Amino acid sequence: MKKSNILSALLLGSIIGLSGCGGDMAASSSQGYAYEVQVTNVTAGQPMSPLLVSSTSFFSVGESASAALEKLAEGGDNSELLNADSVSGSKLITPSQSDAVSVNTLTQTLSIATMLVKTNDAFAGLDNQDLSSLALNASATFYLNAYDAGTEENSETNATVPGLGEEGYNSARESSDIVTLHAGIITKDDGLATSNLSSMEKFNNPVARVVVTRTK
Amino acid sequence: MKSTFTKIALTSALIMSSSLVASEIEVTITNLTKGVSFTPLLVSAHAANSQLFNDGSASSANLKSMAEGGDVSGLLADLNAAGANSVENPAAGLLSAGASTTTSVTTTAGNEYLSIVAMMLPTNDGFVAMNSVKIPTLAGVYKYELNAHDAGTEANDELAANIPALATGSGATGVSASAEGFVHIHRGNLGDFDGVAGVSDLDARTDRFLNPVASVIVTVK
Repeated sequence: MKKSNILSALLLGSIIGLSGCGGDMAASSSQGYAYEVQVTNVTAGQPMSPLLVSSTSFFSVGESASAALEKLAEGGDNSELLNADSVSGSKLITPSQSDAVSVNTLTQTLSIATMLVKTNDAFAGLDNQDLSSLALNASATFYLNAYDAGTEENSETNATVPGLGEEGYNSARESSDIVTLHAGIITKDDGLATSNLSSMEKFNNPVARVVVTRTK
Repeated sequence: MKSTFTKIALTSALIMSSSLVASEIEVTITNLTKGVSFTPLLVSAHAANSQLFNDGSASSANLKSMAEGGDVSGLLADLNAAGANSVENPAAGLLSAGASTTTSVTTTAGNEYLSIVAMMLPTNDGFVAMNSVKIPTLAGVYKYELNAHDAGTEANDELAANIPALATGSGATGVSASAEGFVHIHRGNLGDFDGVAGVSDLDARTDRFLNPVASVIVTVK
């Protein structure tokens, strides 16, 4: 059982220094754009892992998830998606709570991912959102749907769901192995006897609200 | 630079007029669900600072009354006090699955945002909502989709005793025991297959829903 150390630490409340890992992005101080991105968890009972906010796309429906996205979606670990184009949130976002990050970018596009922690491999995602119509100091609101990374069977067991305390990431892939919209969890309350999730963790789209404000 | 000044003045005047002039809009609401009914709807054009709720924040007492019991009178009083232009109960009762209703709203100066709310039956504290959406200023036909929200004020126990109407079962033990404490996107009804026992007095075959739960067509004249 490989535990997701980052997520376990977060769930225990000892937030480690993820926020310092973010790239400063390629833009120099004199060129490009800057956005403040605030994400609010609007689910009933799904905690969300630290945000990954990027100016470049890193997933696509119908295609196989990268190993880096697999680690985020299965274990809440965004570290391998951090690069010059992306930044990390600073905390686990519990239901009704928000986190905000600032990003500097050369392009007017935005992609976001955060794991729904009480699932096998679900994440709230935004892929390559166009921000070119957003004027300086203006804000726009977007709503995120839940995606299934397609990398792990949705067994909903303690042994496979990091939010239940056990294994997060596992390099094995499920048979379908493509990113899709998530069909929702079943839970033990809905008759899946082997599930350790409850109806409180069920979700319906959208799962997160994003307010983007252009600051440069 | 006189011409530049004139242009700026004219532009300002145009911008001001578009936000201050009254407009007439027609609003058509369609219940998209398979088996959920909406209690009497509240449709309101209001100012930016009259938003009825915010996902992630606690519900007001008047939103709670609407979401738990279908009573929009408190929200209507709040909106009236704020000078909003509201229409109560355009469908003259329940708006059942698949049904539509159309109403007109004449908006006065400053009432540039549209909200629509109604309780969803059978749920504990679920409601359909358009939450303070900017009304387009250009004439045209605009389409929106609405989601189901949960007021977070009542446990989703799905017991007939705690749902005003349309919960057909009885004798259930209850699904959830505690309220969430904040408004959020509804996670859906659970239901079960046992009309006289089980965890829920709702029927999983007929009482579930997915977002969106309503469509709205706004015609700006």
